[in-house]
Amino acid sequence: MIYNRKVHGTYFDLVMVLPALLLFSIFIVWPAVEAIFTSLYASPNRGGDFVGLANYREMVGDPVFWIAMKNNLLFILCNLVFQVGIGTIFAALLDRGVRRFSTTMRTIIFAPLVIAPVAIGVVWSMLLEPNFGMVRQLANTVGIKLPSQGFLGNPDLAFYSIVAVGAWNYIGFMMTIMLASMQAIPRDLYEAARLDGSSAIQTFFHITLPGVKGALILCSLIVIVGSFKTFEIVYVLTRGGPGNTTQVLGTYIVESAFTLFRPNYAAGMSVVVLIVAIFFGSLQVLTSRKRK
Amino acid sequence: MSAVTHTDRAVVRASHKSHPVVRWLRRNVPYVILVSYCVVVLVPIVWVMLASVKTRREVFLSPLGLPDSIQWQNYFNIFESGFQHYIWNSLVVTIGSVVPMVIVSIMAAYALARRVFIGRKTIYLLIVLTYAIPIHSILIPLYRIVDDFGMLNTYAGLILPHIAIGIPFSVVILYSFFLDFPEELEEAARLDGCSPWRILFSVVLPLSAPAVLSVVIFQTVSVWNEFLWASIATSGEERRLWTNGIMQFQGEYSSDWPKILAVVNLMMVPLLVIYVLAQKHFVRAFAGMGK
Amino acid sequence: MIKNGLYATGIAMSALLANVATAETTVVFQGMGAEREAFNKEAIRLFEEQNPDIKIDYSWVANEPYKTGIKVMLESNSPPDLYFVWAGSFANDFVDSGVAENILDSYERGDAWGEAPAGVVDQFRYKDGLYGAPGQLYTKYFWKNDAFFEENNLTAPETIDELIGMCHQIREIDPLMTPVSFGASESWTINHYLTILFQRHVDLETMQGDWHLTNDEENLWAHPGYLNALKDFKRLETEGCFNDGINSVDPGVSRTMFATELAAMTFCGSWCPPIFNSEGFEGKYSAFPFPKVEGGAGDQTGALVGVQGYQVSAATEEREATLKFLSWLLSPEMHALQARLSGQLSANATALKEGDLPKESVDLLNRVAQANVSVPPLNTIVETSVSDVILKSGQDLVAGTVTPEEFMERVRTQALEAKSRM
Repeated sequence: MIYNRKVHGTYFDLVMVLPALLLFSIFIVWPAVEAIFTSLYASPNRGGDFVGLANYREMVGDPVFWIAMKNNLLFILCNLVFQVGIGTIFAALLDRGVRRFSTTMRTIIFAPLVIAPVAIGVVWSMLLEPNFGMVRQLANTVGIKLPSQGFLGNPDLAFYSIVAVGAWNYIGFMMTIMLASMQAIPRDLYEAARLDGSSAIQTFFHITLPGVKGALILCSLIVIVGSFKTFEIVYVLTRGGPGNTTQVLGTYIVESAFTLFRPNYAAGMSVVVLIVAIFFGSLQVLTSRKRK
Repeated sequence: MSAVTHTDRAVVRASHKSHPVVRWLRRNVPYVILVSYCVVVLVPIVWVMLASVKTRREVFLSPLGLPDSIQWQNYFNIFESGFQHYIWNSLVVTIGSVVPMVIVSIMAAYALARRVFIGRKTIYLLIVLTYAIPIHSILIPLYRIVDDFGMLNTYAGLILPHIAIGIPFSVVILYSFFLDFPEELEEAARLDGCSPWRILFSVVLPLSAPAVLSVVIFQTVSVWNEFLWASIATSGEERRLWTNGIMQFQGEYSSDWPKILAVVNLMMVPLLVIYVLAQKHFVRAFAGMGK
Repeated sequence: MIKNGLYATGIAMSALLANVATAETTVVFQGMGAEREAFNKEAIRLFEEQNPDIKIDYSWVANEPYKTGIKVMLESNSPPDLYFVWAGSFANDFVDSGVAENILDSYERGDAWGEAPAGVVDQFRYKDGLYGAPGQLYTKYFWKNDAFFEENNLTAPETIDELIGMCHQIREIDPLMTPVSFGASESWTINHYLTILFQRHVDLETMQGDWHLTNDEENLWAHPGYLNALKDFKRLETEGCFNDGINSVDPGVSRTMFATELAAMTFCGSWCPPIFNSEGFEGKYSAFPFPKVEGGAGDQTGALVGVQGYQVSAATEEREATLKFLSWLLSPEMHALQARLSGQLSANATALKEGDLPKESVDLLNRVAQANVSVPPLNTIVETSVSDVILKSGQDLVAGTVTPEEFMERVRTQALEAKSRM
């Protein structure tokens, strides 16, 4: 049998790519394009006519949209500090600070990542409950007076409580990526530093950090994208409250579309999220390829 | 692991020169920090396990105490209320999503990485662009499309969007793996007259197990834990998944924490056990995003 | 073209995976809340026994997610045939968006669900039609721990000032006892306080004009009583009547605090006695009316009373089967069963015999019958966009991020905007 490479090859390529491409086009590309069109019409309970950019204009003047946007951006900042920052420190400690139990400790710190965000939200809403929550009771035992509004009901603390629960969930993730990158740093670099008489801190800043620059960039991009994806934890812990203080784009889109009955306005906000996600997501893939 | 021993020696040698207090601090402060954080991670998990077999009064009044007698009925209650039905649905949806998702992603990623055809770059770029979009950014049109297909409250309506959402990530990871795959092996097979199918299945795939396993683990965890799409695409009990079942439970037993925590625990422990047993693979799956 | 092609592919795929349709008639019944589950299941079992050709597909969703969920379901291509609603703006919104069915014909031909008192059925009349059948009444009263009150020589407070005085007294008697347990992680619970405080402070006619936005622009939501009502609410909070962290306390936790004697009082609905009883608190508590407001412009004996029931979907393909089931579910016989199995106040109280309801619930029914004025919760009667502002701002008021003045300013702004759209 003669193998016709050209004909066979084309057929092969088509069959290989088509299923993924088809599913992807119907359920991702089409809705994404449709979101743009939807956002140009008024919501059904406001007439449903073509209104051009009116939904976007309303968004600019909508204080809740800006609260949600601000919270998403603040999430990025906080998550960079807590998840990437602490994750890096823990990775460095595991890499060079401890000898025994390092695998056990890594296993434990990573563990929350496999628990569903919904379950994490349910558990932490109980732990932070202002009257019977364990956090309150622990504080009472050691004699700390917690704010009487509790954590999740207090507009100043609710947001940071969510940040803390998010950190609990994801520090292990960042730590793992950083640790993998640190373990790839050649050990003789550290040996040389030691011979030069560098301190542990100096070594960290002069050898470890430059060695993991790529991983740091990657972690930051993951955190940026992840912060825009935030939904479950906010939904379960506060539903965007008290008032609208912890609203993020994810929860506000769902609320606008399905509680306030304004799917077209919500689609406008979706488009904003879409643009941000496309930008940072492709940045993540492209930078990681370039590093190779 | 040899890296760790190197470090050990470095630490030990470095400490010889220093003052005993400094040496003691250097040796122990990392442990203090890491162990305290491990406690922060473990306490809520242990609390869930304990609280799930306590009475409500015990949970409210002595959160860290041991239960007087173990309240197994909190667990019986789960099955009396039919929660196993949601678990079954979640299993069907997870397996039904991850298996085809990984298969089509392998096929696409291989062709995109190793074959030459028109539109290859464009398709890959399109996939990369949507790599990170969250489901809420396409939620409204996606809901309408699935509704128009008559797929609300069906397995298909849950599964097909999950496959699609998972494709970009899986393709990107597998693509970069296939790109680095040694060309000589394929070339040798081709000279032996193997068809592209044979090359993929007999040469490339057997050597790709780690990458494929990483993708499978990552996507299984994602789909199993997914909440938003599941809550929008199902309304009745028929196709409800466990993540929505938990919210339903919370609505039903709002202040009966032990009953709710029994469900949380039942859903958390098996995954934690699997993770501990296969933690090497889990860590690689997640760290894989950094590769 | 492409779109059609994609549709066809999708339909083909869904056909592969969808269930094979059965020959019998199926009525999809979407319930709300766990409290009626046992009754609904029993009523369905009895109905299916008598009507083997009709299958009832019943499921329920918890209160807070239901408010979102039902809108999603009704907007879809496969809405439920029968679904739960609160009478008022919540139900009327579905009429306005064309998803609810007019069932006036069924009422006029004498279907059994219509045997409820006319005044109750009327709650579902809207725009010359009848869009819903009443299932239950609900009301909200204060409850007190009888033993605690007796031991400390306390009597039910008559006025808001007395209530506040009593809060201080209770804190002195037992610092660990919360005077009034209150959970507002779900904001409708604040809304209920505001409903009754507004009623005490503002006359009914003005309120009705504000609910439906029929008052003229100048007077829309401008009655000074509203502001005083908010100040009274804020006073309850700052004077230490409530437990800590109201905004993140689950309403269920607040009920448990009362039933486990960690709180002396609570403001709780007619759905609460069965819950208290299930926590072993039976016979140890009693109701008293929401305190009066001295000098308030509203009727001081008024009560919060609402009607809830079921709407038929306009898109139903099984209208007759659905009405048949509805008439069974709300027949006098089933009303009695509902009272026995769920402890809910029946919308048709004449159908009940002694012993069907717990004695606390009977007491509530009598109290409701004696109230001169009854108002439904704000979030079921006020125009939706205004109601949403009131709902959301409630938590802000508790948190102290808006003052009562700013609260009313927000409400007025939204009301004017909504009125201009009408």
